[in-house]
Amino acid sequence: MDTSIESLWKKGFLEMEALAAPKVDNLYRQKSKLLTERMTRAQKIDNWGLLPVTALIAVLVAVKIHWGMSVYLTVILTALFLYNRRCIRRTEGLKIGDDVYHYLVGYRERMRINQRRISRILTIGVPLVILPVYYYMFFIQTDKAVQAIESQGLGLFVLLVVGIGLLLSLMGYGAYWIGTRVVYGRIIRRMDQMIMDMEELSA
Amino acid sequence: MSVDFYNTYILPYAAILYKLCRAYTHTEQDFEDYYQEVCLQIWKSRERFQEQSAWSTWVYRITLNVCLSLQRKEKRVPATDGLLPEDVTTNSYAFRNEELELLYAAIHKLREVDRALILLYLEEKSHAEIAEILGTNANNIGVRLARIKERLKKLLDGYVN
Repeated sequence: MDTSIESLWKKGFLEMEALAAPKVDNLYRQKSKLLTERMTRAQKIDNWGLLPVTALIAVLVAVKIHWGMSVYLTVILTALFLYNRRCIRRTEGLKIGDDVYHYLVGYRERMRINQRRISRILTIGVPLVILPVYYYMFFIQTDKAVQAIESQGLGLFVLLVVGIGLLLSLMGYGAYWIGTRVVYGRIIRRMDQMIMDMEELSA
Repeated sequence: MSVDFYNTYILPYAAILYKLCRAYTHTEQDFEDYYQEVCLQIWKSRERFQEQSAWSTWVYRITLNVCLSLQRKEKRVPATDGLLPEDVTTNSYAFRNEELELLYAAIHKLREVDRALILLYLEEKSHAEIAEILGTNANNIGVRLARIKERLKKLLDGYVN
């Protein structure tokens, strides 16, 4: 009897049911799930990373500057951590359901909202964190504030503080903008591509 | 992707796509993922097709590229030397034909490119066609095929003559 590789192959596929190709259905379901899970995981790691940084800053500031300033910074950074966590939980709360396209669009929209809010918080938060520390270190501790106001006038002093504040805001926003693109850029691009593909597929 | 596109440009090749995807996967879920990804990539690359080769060649190339790249990404199930009956029964999407299942189990143990080569050969593609699909020289296809068949015979020791 002929039992060559070729005959095994031919005989095996004589049963047409063995060739029942799977339906092209819910193409992006698994992919979307993996992508959003990856995104959420990255956000969680990123957010939890804030805690050791907060602890380090708190200790350094308490030792080198003032314990009151340390408490102030800890409160602000912990609030940022908690806010981030709430945002992540909100996106996690989105369920994939049957409509993968709307799930992905919803997830992306939720991420955009979160990013917009966090970038606003950082725009205000960075000067809020740095200015008091700076003020405390260089003016209160050394009593230079009074001297500066006396020599330059209050107007110029306020202008200087506002200028530094704006610069810090810009830096905070810029650093977040760049950081988001570096850490999540690839995932976001893939998500955008998937959404575009799905739109094209359904066209 | 329209139903028309699928029916006209993919369905005629579904059998070989099926066989190729099947050779690179170990579970039904993976198989379905591979097959769907292949269909999607064929559809997405339709505008890049320039009729320098046959549409079927283009389809096979994309299928193999997708299978190979997914395979490399996942780096699943390392090959082992023996061919045990357990290898067959562990497949959750086993064929009803036991001999075919054995053959697939043996093919799974080949190197990735060798799998493509033997599958195209079993689909009765000429050496020139195989070379075109794989982007290699047709001259050594015969020699490579002979080696692969020898290896398969060893793996299927007792099942084929």
